[in-house]
Amino acid sequence: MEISPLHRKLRLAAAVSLSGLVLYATAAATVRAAAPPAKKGTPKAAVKKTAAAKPTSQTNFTDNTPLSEQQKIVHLLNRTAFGPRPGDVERVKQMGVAAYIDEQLHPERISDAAISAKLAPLTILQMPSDELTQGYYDALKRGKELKVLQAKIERQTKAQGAAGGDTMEMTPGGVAAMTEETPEKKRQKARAALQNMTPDERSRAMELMQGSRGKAAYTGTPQLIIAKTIRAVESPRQLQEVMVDFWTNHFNIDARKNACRVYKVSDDRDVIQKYTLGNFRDLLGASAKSPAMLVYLDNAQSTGEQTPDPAMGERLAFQKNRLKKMAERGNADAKERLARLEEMQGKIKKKKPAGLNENYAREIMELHTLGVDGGYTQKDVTEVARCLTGWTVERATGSFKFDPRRHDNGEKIVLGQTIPAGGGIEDGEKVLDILASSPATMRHVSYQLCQRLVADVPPTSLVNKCVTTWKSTRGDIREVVRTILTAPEFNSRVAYRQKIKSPFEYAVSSARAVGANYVLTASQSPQARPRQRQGAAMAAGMIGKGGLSYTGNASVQYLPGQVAVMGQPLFQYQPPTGYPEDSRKWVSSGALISRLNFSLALTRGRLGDLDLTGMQDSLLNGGQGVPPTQYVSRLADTLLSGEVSPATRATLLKEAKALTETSGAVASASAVVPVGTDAETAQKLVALVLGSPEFQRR
Amino acid sequence: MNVSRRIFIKNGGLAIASVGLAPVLGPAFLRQAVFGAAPTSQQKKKTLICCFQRGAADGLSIVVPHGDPDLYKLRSDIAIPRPLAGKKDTTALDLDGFFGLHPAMESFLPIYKSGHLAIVHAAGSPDATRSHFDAQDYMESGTPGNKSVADGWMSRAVLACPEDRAKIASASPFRAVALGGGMPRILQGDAGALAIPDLRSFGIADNSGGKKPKRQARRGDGMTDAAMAAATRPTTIASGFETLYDDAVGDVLHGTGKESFEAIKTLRSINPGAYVPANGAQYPNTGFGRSLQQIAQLIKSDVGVEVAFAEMGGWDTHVNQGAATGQLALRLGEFSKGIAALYQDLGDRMSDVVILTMSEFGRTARQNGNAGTDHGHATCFFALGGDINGGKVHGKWPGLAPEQLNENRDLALTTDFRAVFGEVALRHLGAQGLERVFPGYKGTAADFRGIVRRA
Repeated sequence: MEISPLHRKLRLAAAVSLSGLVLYATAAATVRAAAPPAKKGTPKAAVKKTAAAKPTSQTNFTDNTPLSEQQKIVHLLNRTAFGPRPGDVERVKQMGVAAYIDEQLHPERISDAAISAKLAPLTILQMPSDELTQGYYDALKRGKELKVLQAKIERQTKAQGAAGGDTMEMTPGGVAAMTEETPEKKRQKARAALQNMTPDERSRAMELMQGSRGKAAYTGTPQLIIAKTIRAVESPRQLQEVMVDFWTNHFNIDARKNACRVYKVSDDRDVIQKYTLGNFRDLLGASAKSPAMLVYLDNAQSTGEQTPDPAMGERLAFQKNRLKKMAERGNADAKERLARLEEMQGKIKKKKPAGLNENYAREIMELHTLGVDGGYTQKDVTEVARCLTGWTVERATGSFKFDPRRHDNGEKIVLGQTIPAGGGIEDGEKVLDILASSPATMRHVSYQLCQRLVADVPPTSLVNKCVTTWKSTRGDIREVVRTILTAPEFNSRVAYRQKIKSPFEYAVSSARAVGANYVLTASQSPQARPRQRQGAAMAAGMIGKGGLSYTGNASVQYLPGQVAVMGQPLFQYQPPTGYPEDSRKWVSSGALISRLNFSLALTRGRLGDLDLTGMQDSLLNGGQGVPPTQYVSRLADTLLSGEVSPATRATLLKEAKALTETSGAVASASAVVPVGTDAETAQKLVALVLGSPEFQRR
Repeated sequence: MNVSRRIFIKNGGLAIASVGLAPVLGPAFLRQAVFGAAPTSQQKKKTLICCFQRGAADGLSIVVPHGDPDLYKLRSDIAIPRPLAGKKDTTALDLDGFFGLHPAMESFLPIYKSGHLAIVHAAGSPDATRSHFDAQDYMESGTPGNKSVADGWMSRAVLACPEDRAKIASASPFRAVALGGGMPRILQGDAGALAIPDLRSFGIADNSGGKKPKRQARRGDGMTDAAMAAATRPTTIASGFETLYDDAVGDVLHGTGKESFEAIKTLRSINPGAYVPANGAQYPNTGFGRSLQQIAQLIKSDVGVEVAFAEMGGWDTHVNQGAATGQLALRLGEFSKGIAALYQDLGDRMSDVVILTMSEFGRTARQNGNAGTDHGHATCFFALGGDINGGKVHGKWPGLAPEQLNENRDLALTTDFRAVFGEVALRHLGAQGLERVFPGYKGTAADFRGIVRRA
């Protein structure tokens, strides 16, 4: 490596040849090209087989054959809901599209009693934040004390030389992360430690273990995942759920990060759900004060430079002077107090310099509001970070707190606007005002909403309409969504079935299509024993320490685990960007195989958390004595609303015949074939439909 | 063993030198090659494996410029201490008197000393963005500052290889593979890449018709034996799915389906569940470790891998990043042990393989208020392989004095990542035309750092 002359001496001393020196050529400074407004939506995703994957062209939005009334309803249910349940299309047909849109835009008018009852056992989600937070930190503290106690015993045991390698093996800090300890091993260790304790230690350890339900008991993530699944599959407030999914992703939080596993509960309940169809500024403000967000993007730890309080300095100087004089006069007490004061001052000075953390400041502009090309600079990032210093979390209560001691109270300039010194918490509020009312924000967020609800590359005309509504309603999300759903662009031919379903959309829409209901499989009570709790985590598709590695580890016996395996673990996505809104990103071979496996697992009844009585009655038993042609048509009607390509229909028919033949029945289009008596054949056909290319789209 | 003789005739001098320098550490394949491997007539296909460190890895704590006194002024709590004999666990592992490896990366040291591991420091994207998303995007598209390019550079590199080789390879769905998750941007494009979360479960599993889940013994990695066996077994329903996607002509999913089913058939024959790494290689039991192991298996199965990709997250160390131990050290342990295991496992085949590491940008030269580091600029990359001109740190060191830093905060950039990736793509993989792989890049071969050995 070539080094500057300053370092050459050192370098030569190292007796390493300097041959092979390469001259440094200045890298051409690359100017950033203008890019589309929304980063998640930049039309850059190259999809394999480009010829087949022509990105939706915008020109086609103006002239196309209109959708039939039936198609409009199916389209609406695919976009404002997680796909139709049996009977949904009929219901919308009866009440009319406009009335349905209006109903869905006002979820508070739709009765949710059945869902509330179903969610009742998920008690963590209903706990007040302070109780949850205290429980969590208490559990952490108790766990720590217990560990210290165990470690002490271990040291003693080792010192006595009494222990062989088989009693306790404390892993030195860190190594454990590479090979995870099984709960069984942990229990063995605890038991071994207990035996070596003094009676006092043992009773304290017992107390700690009895009282301790571990931090897992306060971890909200499994219940969040299950509640989200229940609502998506069964709630009549479908648009609300679709929009909650959108905002959860927009304000992405990885609930595996530290206390986010607890704080995400209130973020989901008091931020995302509460303001999902509300005002954007309110949503943004609630998110900015959400403990989960403050921790996830590190703002809770950001500390500004202090502008020293001159009055304080004067008072101190006066006091010191006074004590000095008294001490000089021989006052021993004053001498002591002076020494204490000086020691204290020294300590304060030695304290680490203020630390600004820019993480949240950057992401709030890049992801949550303006968009990456929204016209901000690195300087703006730093200034916003300064404004937001002191926005932190009060640990005792798990709630937002403004800490003036952490706040940088100097003057700031954000996007050209001066924020005068001494504003305190108002600095942050002003930043949120500026960001929420910026035209770049309106465009960026509208673009993403259109991506979610209309097309991967939404028509500019539609985004413009959203921006107009946004302006006139000052960011009323409900009205922006209404604009999208009632615009002609929404019902354009090109948008129809244009989006590939995300894994969550795919899994939930499959369950809905066959009329399945969610069943709680494990006790979700915080009082549950560890083994039961593990079951609860598994039911949520999580294994291990409330975490989940992206592949292979989720339990495929439950719907959320399947969603994780298909590539979308819920509440557990590390990058702040959230999952891509451009649905073409979901197309890949590995993902496709997982989807086919999901369709099989579902129809085979291998998902322990789905009640398939509905499917059994209508699709499987109902097929009894129906010829293959009719049965295939019925499946296509029920599951795909009749929208099935001739090729797929032909394949299904061929498979239906082949399957019935192999099962011993004689098949022909005219003969009556007892498909229904052969449950396995019917199951396979349903699996084929759910796994078909048509069903991957919405 | 079909070792490419040509390569070692080309590199013979250097190879002998490196074996001579470290006879014990020199890998078997080199000794074999130099001292009498059987000649082969046909040119061996080259493979490139890229490992992405997502989240911006802190180059200054990975390859530590311990000879730069400014480092210790900038990072009072988190700098890796200067190398000290007998303290190899807590101080930098010296490479050349100026740079040292993080102590958690001990497994890289013998490979470096044997001359098959090179480092490029102060490298990265010339674009100034500090957004993870954009910077990763640029590093994968290979077009910093330009978002309009739809495909990734690894995909373009494969396509830029000479026609005859591309034709042979196009028969294989494994020509371009990503292990461990979805399709990364870097492989998107016309090369028809395959994304496989886990080789062992890549198949249609239709084992227990109509049965409710039952308790099964779990392996360490959460996979059940039955699930693995079932995944690769041929099923009648699989053929149904295959026909469905075969017939979906004109749909983007058609191509995806076709590749998936071809791949399943190939995998069935190589039995991924029963793989035992060679040469005593031990991969970390993590997602990244598994991805690397499965890449090794694919390469050794001769299914036609030309480019492969794996990724590892957790590098965004804003808070308490640690020094010789701690958060970053843990990550680096996993990262280096994984790659060293891959190197060991591939053994002789490393003569035709290059492993290249990358991260979207580096981190601030100064530690922040939380004993962590914020988003910075340049960082360091590793390159390993028989074709690599290793045992040295390439590039130009910009220095860490305040006026030498990028925007007075980050390690400045002296090597454009395209000069590194371009050199490997052209001189190792055999791609033709730098402009084809990196459209819009103004650099030329003159900007290459010499990390690939030449005749």
